[in-house]
Amino acid sequence: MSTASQTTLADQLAQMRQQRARSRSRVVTTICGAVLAGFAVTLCLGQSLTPPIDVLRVLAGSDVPGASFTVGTLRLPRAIVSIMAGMSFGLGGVVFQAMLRNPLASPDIIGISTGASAAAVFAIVMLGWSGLAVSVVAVLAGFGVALLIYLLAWRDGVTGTRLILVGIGLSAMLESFIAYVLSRAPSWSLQDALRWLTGSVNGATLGQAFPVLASLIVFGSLLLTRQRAIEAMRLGDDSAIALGVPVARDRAIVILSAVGLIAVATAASGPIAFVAFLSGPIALRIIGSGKSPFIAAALIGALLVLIGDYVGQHLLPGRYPVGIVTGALGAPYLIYLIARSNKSGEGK
Amino acid sequence: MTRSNLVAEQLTAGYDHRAILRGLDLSVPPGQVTAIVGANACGKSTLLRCLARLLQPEHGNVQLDGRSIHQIQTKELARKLGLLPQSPLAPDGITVADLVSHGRHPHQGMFSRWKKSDDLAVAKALEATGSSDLADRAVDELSGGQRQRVWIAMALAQETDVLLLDEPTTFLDISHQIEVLDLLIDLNRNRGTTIVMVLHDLNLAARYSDFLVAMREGQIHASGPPDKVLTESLVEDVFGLSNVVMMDPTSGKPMMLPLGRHRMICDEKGIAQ
Repeated sequence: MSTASQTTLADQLAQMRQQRARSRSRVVTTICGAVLAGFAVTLCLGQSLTPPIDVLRVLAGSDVPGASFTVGTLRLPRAIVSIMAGMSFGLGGVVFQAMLRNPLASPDIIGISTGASAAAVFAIVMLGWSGLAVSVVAVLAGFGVALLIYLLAWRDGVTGTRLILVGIGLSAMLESFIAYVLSRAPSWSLQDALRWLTGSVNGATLGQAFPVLASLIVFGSLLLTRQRAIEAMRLGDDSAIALGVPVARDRAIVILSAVGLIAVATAASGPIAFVAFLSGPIALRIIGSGKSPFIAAALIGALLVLIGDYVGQHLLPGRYPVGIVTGALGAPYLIYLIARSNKSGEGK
Repeated sequence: MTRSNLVAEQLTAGYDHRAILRGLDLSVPPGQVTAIVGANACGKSTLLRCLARLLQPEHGNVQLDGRSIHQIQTKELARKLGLLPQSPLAPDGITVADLVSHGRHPHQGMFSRWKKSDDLAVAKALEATGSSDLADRAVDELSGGQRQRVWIAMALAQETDVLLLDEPTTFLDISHQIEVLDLLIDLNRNRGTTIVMVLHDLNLAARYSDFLVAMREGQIHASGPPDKVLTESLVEDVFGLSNVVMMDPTSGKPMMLPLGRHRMICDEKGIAQ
């Protein structure tokens, strides 16, 4: 029943789609290559240069005097935690931004990572906890804050703008709570607690990477199954429902998964500032807007943390945790976004 | 094509427990164009939202072919019932082709690949709405009229028997209003799509509908063919407006002219002042 012109148009559409899919996978491959390159560089090059062949031997499991400690114990866990945490932040952030149609809706802006940090700092300073207990509390607090934002923003459903404003307010309260707790901190716990302010991969261990990897696998694949639903939700709730998306259920799944990613990564590395917030917009810039940026954003997140950490460790006078470097990158962009959203009168 | 039967029974619905619809009954004539009119806040959009399962009624129900729409899985329903909301949102930078492709969502499984038939449905929708040339343009760059055609194309790509539209002509200038309404009639004639639309403009509603529904205070005040429904007393009751109804010489349908306090040269009886 289709006419010739329709068939031609259909072929053109198919061609356009394939072309774009090809260019997208080219871009994703390139970013992937950049992450691998960054990984290789951070393994070889630190305070001293380790020959790549020695790095490979360490990775293969053999004992290389000198290199085994620097590469195996210091650099490798640090690079792996950076990549895992960066991917979690990038993916968790872009999912929030896409679903709520607003780059300001990133979990590090609306207080989810701040919630995790506040709980961790409280547990370290006031309760004297450490290690796994702190991480568990941080993850639970991340979920708790997300739930609180959701409930406070609820009025016949949740709209993006209300959720963002509630989140920013809550985030400010949590920040001042952290400042209060830190002001009471004895010096022995201050160092440990400070990591929760800006995020850092100092002294990362492989043990920290496993929970993050597990959460990436579980929550990440859950999110990928909802990719089309998230895309449809960007058209507005009414359109998404009309297109057959069970919006309430899918949104709950998506929020839970994204918060899980963010909270678990925060427990491992602290809230590395603005990685969640920056990755999505950067990925969109690179792959072109209008198409799903999830995988690209995850990779950009990994790249941001890897590079930020490397810059903070080796390229600046003095040593800074990665969160300070990414924070310095992200803050101007945040100001730009807020200034722009004020001009147009909406948080777009 | 089997024609879907959309029926609302004893519908009571509203927001914050404030009932806007009160025990409303409506049977949408299959294969026809229905227009819903009424004063502001009379419940037209609420009715459309209930028909589209965007709003769960407090009492009563909406049935499609004898099944309550809240019992039907939302994706299955989306293959039968399409909706163009009043102000849909286009993500930044999305192309026309991508936007229209969203209409295929209910026809796809979670991991199923994009099929030839999907491309064809999108192509047909673009062609039917005269937007073939726009396929690779960004939606943000389009004019209001073009954008509305593209949104309608998305709903068409969904290939539903019933299409609901909430004020599809708002924000459009008059020539684009006519263009959109003509397009809807084309769809109705060529595909047999049942169309239900909320319209603001009484005269356009009378001209373009087969079945006119006039609502007042959450209930249906009158319904039927426009020449039976659109009368002076109806407009008086529904809108509280003095008016004259006469035959529109261009369409042969009734046409309403409002009577205000100023600038009149005759009253409702046609007597010169």
